Amino acid sequence: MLNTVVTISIDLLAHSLAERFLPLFEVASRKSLRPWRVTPGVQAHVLVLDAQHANALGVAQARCVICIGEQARLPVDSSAWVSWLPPQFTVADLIGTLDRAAIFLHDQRNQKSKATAEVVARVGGAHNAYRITSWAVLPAPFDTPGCLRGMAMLSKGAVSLEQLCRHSQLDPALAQQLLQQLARRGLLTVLEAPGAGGGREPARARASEGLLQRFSKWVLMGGRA
Amino acid sequence: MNETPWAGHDAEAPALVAALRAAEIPRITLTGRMGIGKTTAIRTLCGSEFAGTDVRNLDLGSHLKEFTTVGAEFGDIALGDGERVQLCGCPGQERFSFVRHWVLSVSFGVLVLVDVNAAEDLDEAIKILTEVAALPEPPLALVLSTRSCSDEAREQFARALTARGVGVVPVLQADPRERQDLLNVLSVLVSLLAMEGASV
Repeated sequence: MLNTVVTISIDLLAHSLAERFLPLFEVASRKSLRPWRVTPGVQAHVLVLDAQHANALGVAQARCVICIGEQARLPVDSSAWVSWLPPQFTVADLIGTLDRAAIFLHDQRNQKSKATAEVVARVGGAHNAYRITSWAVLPAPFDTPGCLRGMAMLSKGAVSLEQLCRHSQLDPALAQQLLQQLARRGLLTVLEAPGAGGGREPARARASEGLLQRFSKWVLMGGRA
Repeated sequence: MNETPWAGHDAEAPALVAALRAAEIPRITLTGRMGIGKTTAIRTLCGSEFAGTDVRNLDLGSHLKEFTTVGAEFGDIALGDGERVQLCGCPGQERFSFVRHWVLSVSFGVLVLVDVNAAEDLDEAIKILTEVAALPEPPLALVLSTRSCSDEAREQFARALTARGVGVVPVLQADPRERQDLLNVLSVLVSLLAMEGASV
């Protein structure tokens, strides 16, 4: 596990700080517990930034952040790992920071793998309901209109496998694969479905059943009445 | 009658207000900034059943397109037997936000059109989705990415929406010129409405 490459992005670092960071990183990364690679974009495991970029797009979703220079309030949640380095940080400071980031990511990965395996194992249970915690763009065979309908339902609240199939017109086997795929991505929450008679009340209809049937038919007919 | 956000503006858009108040028409709103594809999407779905309010664009600083929409524009989807669903495009300029608020309050669905690569569109989408959620009877909301983008950019936009407190919102890819893309989006909306109205 410790030989997995950790990606780090310095896209949100001011040019002057990046000029100092990169040569020191060249040395520090070779001394670190894990191999490192600089990558573009904010999807890297570790974001390096300065106070001016504290609110840039992607920072709020970061799990591991190194902030250099002036301390700033970061929009990350409390479970994220954040470390500060002074503007004149040394290579020793950087080695220590990279190692602590690597250990955090290692622990987080272990926890996530365990949690994901538990969720995947629970998919398909007769009394389960499911919802997603974030919207995802999935590859084939999950990029169909049926899967999009299913995911949209999962985004609005907990639904059972039966409900998912009924309203999205997904084949049960594909619906279950979709749930497992979402679970593997760490985006699925499995809940205990309410028992018989304890289900939620239908919401006040925004549109009549007859209208929805005719509208649905119009869509299925390719936009023809 | 309660004070409304559009109070005082009725005189500025009497035809619109009268039209909306005239009948309880099932309605889907398309909203988003100027030039994002609202008019194109309505024309793609409704063809000739379309009433636009385009005028020459005098705000070339905001967008270079030659014409822009200054009032709400309407398109009709005829379902047969005289039944119809109305699509209503709201003007993108902020000075027409009172029109948007009014139309949203009488819609059962809203499509928020965005370019996920434009940082300002995230703020715009959050503003609209927050406005929608605050309505007494909020319409179901979907976000439509109408420009080419990577899957990663679309997911990142969706995660940012959730992180900024508007919940999990579907961010679907749809070219406003492609009828099938838009039909797929409408099928998602119809499924959500059907599920919502059904007992568990």
